[in-house]
Amino acid sequence: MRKKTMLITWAALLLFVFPAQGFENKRQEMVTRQIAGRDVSDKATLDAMRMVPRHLFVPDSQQAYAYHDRPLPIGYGQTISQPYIVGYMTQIIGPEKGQHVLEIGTGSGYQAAVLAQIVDMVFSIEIIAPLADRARKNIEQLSYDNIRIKHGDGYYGWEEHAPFDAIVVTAAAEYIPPPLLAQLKPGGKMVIPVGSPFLTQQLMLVTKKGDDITTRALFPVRFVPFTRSDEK
Amino acid sequence: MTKNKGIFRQQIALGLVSAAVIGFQLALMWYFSNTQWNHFAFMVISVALLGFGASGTFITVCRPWIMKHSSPVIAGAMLASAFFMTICVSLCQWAPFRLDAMLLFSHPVHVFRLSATYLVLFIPFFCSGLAIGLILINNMETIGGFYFVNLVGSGIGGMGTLFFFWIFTPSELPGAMAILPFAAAIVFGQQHRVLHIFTLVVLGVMVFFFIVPPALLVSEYKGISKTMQLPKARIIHAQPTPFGFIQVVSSPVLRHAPGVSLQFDQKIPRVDAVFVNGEWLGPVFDIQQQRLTGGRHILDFSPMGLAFRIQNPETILCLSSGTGSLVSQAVSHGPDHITALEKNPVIPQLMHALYGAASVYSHPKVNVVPKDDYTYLVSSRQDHDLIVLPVLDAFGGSSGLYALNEQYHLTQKAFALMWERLSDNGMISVAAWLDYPVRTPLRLVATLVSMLESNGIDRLENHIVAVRSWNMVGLVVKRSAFTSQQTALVREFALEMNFDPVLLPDIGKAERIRFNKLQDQDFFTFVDRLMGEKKADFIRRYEFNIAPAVEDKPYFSQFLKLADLLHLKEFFTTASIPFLELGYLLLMMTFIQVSIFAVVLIVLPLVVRRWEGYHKWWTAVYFAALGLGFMGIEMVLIQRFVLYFGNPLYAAAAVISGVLIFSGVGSYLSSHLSSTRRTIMGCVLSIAAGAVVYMVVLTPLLHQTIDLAFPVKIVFGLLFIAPLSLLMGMPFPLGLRLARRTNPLNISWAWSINGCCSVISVVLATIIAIEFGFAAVMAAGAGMYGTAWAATVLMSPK
Repeated sequence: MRKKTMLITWAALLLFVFPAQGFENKRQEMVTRQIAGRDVSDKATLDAMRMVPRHLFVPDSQQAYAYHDRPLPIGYGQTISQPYIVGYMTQIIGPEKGQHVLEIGTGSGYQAAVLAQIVDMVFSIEIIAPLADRARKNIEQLSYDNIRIKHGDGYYGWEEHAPFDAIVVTAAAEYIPPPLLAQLKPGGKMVIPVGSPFLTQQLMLVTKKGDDITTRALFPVRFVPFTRSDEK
Repeated sequence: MTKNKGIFRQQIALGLVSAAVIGFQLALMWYFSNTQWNHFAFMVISVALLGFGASGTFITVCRPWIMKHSSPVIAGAMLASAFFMTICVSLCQWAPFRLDAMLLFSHPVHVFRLSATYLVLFIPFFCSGLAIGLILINNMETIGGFYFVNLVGSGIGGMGTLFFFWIFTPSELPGAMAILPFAAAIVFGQQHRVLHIFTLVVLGVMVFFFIVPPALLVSEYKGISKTMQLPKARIIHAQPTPFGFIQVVSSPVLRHAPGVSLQFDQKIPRVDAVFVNGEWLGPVFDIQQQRLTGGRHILDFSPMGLAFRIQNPETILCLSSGTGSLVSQAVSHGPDHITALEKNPVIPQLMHALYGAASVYSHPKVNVVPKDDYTYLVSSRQDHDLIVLPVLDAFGGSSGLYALNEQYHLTQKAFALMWERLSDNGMISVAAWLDYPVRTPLRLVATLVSMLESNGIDRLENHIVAVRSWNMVGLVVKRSAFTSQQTALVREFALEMNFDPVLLPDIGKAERIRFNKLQDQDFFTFVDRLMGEKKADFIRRYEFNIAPAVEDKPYFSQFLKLADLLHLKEFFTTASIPFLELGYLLLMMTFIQVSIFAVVLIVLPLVVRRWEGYHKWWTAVYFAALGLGFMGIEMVLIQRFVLYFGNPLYAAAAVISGVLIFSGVGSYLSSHLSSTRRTIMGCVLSIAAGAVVYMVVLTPLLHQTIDLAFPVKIVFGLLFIAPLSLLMGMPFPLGLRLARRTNPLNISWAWSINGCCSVISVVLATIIAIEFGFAAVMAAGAGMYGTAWAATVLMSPK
């Protein structure tokens, strides 16, 4: 009987503890190799990415790849960005305590969760209803109380909570909606990806200074950030 | 025995199955182009078509049994073909089999699903091939007549299917084709009881799927799927046409403002959007669009507004006008006359029908010409103040999905023709999305520079200006030099819109990055090199192919250099590369897969049966050469006639059907010739020589007659195709008759070899066209017939 109990305990350990432990290790390794190993050095960003369980934000069928160095499909033709891109986008807006950040394109909710580790409030808008619902569930499960998710058209931003210190647009867009620029604080930063969702993307930083709005491409023209070719 | 059946009934059945094979192939191409992408469709169907070659292998390996039971096997194969044609779409869409091309390189399960799809599609081709092959083998005495029916049936099948494109949706059409092999089985007749039951089962399945047709499940990564995710999105119009499956989508949150200035502070108006085969064609702008955006058209706030800021044109030519977004911008500037070219005649008609007076195509100053851009430019003598091209590449990058599209309007020759069609102060306006790594804008600059230089322009900087937004580059080329006032207007426009000049006389370094900074100066360095003297060296050394596209290699969107593939892999993972240049990689994958399968199918009979007999080498080389040569020459003819007729659909239909029908006549005539080595040698040598002559005279001759009326061009084109096609129909039946005399086993093997090599040929010809041009494809086709001649010369006399 005792042997049987021990066996069940071991089985439970194998089933529940080790996978979680495995994900924890993979996450630490992801941050060390894919993010800190490149040019993301902001401590708050690195700490946030060490904390947020990325595997809980991807569909079950994708969990095994959650910490791989690439974007993953999350359904409805959408993807969760490559971890490096999430890290880079977080770092580039200079997140700090006390800030309010608007995110356009909640997707799985992962980027919002990373931001919420650092800033005071994250307001996130998702246009695809099932994705918004799923992200809300993810956020609730992890007990985030500083993320608001709204299903709606990101074009209009979130007027009631404007202006924002930063705006993160997670999906490539052929234009930047004027209301979003209007809801950005003077000196505020907006980051937006450009390019095919399955390819490592170019990122643009949009800055508002008085009447002038300037942009800056964040990666070299010739080649966008290199992904590791030695990925296992 | 089949031989005892009425020849007429066998021929009718043969014609029906032959028509079904072509029709089913076109229907699948359409289905996969809608649910996935063109090049993926090409890959799947190429592999599936090997089923045709596999039927020859099967007959060779199982010959004694199969010949004994050929009659029920033929009827059973026809019924099985009908059964699998009916259910193939449902099987492909069945959850465990349903694949997504976008996930093929990152999710191993989709490799299994791809294999399952191959198998599902392979079976109907195999069954049809089995029926056709057995009928031909059973009638070797009159092979010329039967091969004639086979080819004519295929030709009529190709033409006839175009009619069904108006009626059935992409998910319904493959199943609808099943009626042909089913009818063939009925005509062929069979007394076997099991087959009677099978006939009833197939009929029941066909009726069921006719009543409950499969839905169209499109990849979630296609434009139409993403758009349908938007709130309250709905399809307000869907229309199957031979020019593609057209869908018009409406949603209150659908807006279009490509590359619009960050200074634009008004509301971006909502639009409807048109999709063809599930891919974005364009937005539907209201004719009074500018009223919604403060009196100026929304595109005037993008780099596409540059040309209109420089000067107000009186006559405008809009190339590939699609849904008319650029026509709408042109209309807002009040010119005297606008010519809008759109090779898909359904789109302007549809816009007019759906939106009435609000459609730009209803505007009295807009003249719609349903022609291909290139064909119009070759034949028109009218001058224009402004020629506008649509934005190059797709937003967000096309991932190389257009790499194999022949884009004649973006070739060096097309730009030279545009230059000729400009009035004294005329301009060409073109914009491109900025892609990463940068490719499209660089090839565009290289092409424009080449055009200017070939027109004797020394001071390039006086004739070309460009501005850059955060995601788009707009270029304007002017026939006369830009005046200082005009360059000041360019600067003013850039300042107002927060764009940066890229090309401008006396441009300063800081001026180029005032509003939109780049991480490095590479983009400007590259552009300057293309404007400088060492451009050829730069183009040669750049990691991607950015040399101007030419008429013989009209692949503007093909950027991948195979030689640099390994180099690129150092920067991107293997999983990322496909999304960089998917089209060409799929083509290479297709070639490798098809070649491996074909070799297995060709060699298998030799390993399994090891039969005695003569002329195995001759059979292998001769029939492989015919398979490779025939399709290669046909492809070049299609390519040349695409330009001639100004419409790919008509060209392909006319050429394919023309070649097949005339080849059928040639085959019929060959039955009056003796199948001696000498006859065969004379025949294949004539084809090789004819192909060389066509290579030299075809293009000039077609250019000379391009102005003729369309019906006259059709007659002229068919007359031109006839002589070579007639000859091309002869070597196969003549060769089979010669092979029959030495070893009957060689006949089914020859059928297999020819089928497999025909499939390889289409893929190989595309690769040769991209790498070396269409002239090289024609030369290779001639070379193949030369090889058939050499093999016959060297054939042992036994």
